[in-house]
Amino acid sequence: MSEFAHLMPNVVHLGWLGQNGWLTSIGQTLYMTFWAALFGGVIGLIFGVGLVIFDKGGIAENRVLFNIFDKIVSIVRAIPFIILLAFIAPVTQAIVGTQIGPTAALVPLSLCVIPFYARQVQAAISSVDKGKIEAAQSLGATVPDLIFDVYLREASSELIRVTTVTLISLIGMTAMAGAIGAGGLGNTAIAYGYNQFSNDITLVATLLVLILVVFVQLTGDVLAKATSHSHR
Amino acid sequence: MAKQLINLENINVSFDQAGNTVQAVKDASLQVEQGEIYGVVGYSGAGKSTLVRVINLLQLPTSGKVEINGEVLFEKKDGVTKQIGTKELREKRRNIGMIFQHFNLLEEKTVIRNVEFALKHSKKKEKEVTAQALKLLKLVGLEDRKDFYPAQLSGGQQQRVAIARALANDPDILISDEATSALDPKSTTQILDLLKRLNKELGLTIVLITHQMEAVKQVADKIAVMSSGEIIERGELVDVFTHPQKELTKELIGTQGELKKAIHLLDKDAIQRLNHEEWELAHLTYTGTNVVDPIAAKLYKDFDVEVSIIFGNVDELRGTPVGTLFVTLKGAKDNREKAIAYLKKAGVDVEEYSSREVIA
Ligand SMILES: Nc1ncnc2c1ncn2[C@@H]1O[C@H](COP(=O)(O)OP(=O)(O)OP(=O)(O)O)[C@@H](O)[C@H]1O
Ligand SMILES: [Mg+2]
Repeated sequence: MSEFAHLMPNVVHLGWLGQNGWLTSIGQTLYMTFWAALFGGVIGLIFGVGLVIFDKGGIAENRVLFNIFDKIVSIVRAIPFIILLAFIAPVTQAIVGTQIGPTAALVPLSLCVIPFYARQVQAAISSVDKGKIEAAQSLGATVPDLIFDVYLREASSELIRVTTVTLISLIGMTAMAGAIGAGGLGNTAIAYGYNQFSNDITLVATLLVLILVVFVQLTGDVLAKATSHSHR
Repeated sequence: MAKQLINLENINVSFDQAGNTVQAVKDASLQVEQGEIYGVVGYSGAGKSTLVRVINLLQLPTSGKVEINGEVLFEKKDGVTKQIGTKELREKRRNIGMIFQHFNLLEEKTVIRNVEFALKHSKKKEKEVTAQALKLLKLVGLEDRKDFYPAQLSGGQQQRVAIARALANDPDILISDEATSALDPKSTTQILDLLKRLNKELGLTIVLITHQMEAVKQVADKIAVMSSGEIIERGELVDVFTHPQKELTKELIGTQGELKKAIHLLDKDAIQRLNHEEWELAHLTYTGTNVVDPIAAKLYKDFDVEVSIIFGNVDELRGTPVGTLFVTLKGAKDNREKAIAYLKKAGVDVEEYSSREVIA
């Protein structure tokens, strides 16, 4: 331990707990990732499904709804995250009562996840064979049946894959949000590492983010494989 | 007379594609009676799938009338459209099973869950649903595979699951769109036998779309031939096969191919002889078996016409043997004419080919 303290004095100095502690920043990163994934994921999923079913030739074709969904997704997707952070600060203030800290970051993070995930969900469930939809329709399936039993179920493995991709890019975004005071590992790396020339802190923070990313990726791969029955 | 189960009247279907209008079905009418197996044949792109998808309104026609079991599901005439509600339509669809070339099973559900999926909105209790699904899997001989996933089954087995699923709600009608086209010959025969059995045992009315002539030959009672969106010929299977009217029908049935083969089998001398007054090539088609043997002897004895067989073939059309013979006839012109008249009277269909056709 003392050798480690000698090698990475600043890392040890930050400590585990406390306002700047490692556990605190890990916790903040997980907190932001989890809730932004949940809010953004659910809404993004709804948008993704909407983009498929309301599309021309879709199971609930609706030009107006499709265009609304499509425009929202395209516009929000086009705004760079760092600008979005600043741009919606007043909205964040109105929703959570503050513009800084991990909870405040959830608003722009979720907002950013929505279009990103929606497009990937759209692609994933569009890859479901039209023949399956047609067969289900010939059996008298309702629109909810088609969404849940055919689209989402048949694309489940692909959906897990795109969820993994989204989570990983979300982890990246939480680090960016950290840079403007949202806390988390990104904040640690920049505020205590980079800005104070403490390279050991930057290194450890980077490694922790990397471990998180690899963990998400591996879990996603295993789950995607486990849910797929379409190949022997 | 049997009850008319499917009645499609003057169906038109057109698609708009990038400013172009493709008329996939043109003024097609199709009537299918209860208990029939009705084959619909034609080349790729003829409009077969589009036409039959109109039966359960998976495809809405541009105009025409769709009547199932005496009830109008859709009618559009003179710009006025009548159509049943979506909820009713879903119920009607459950009375019309459908199977497809690529099976279209849900790959993330086990075999039994696939069948149960069809029963999702039935009023049965969960236990009864499972019992019904099992009963159907037994019917298609796959109850021991109930917990397999589709990808773990062969194509033929997957199609049998699809049949079980299509029959889950005890439909009156089964539409089979190229259901055997992706299968090997053995599985094809199994599926066709199963369809035939379902037709007999359950009185299931079947509309069978295929481009495999063998399939319709084995099971169909009636056939309709489609070309460029139109039904160009229709009738009892045996009639259409033995007396095809349209060139396309002959082509599909393979008469053309057989003629080529016959010509191919003729040696040079024979072809030379066909140029001669006294020779001709003829194609005889007859149903039943007992016609064949006496023909040659009879023609020689009574008409002084020599018959030599180039090749022959006996086909089975729904259990009725249908013979095909390519022969050369040698004799004086009026003797040959008399002989042919005799053959026709005996129920043999005779097509004569001039030497010019043969040499070309
Ligand atoms: N949804 C669609 N949009 C545009 N054109 C279509 C559509 N469905 C079918 N067509 C066109 O309609 C015509 C008839 O197609 P259809 O699938 O009914 O033919 P088919 O006889 O079933 O052929 P196959 O033997 O290849 O299945 C084709 O020219 C096809 O390109
Ligand atoms: Mg087709």
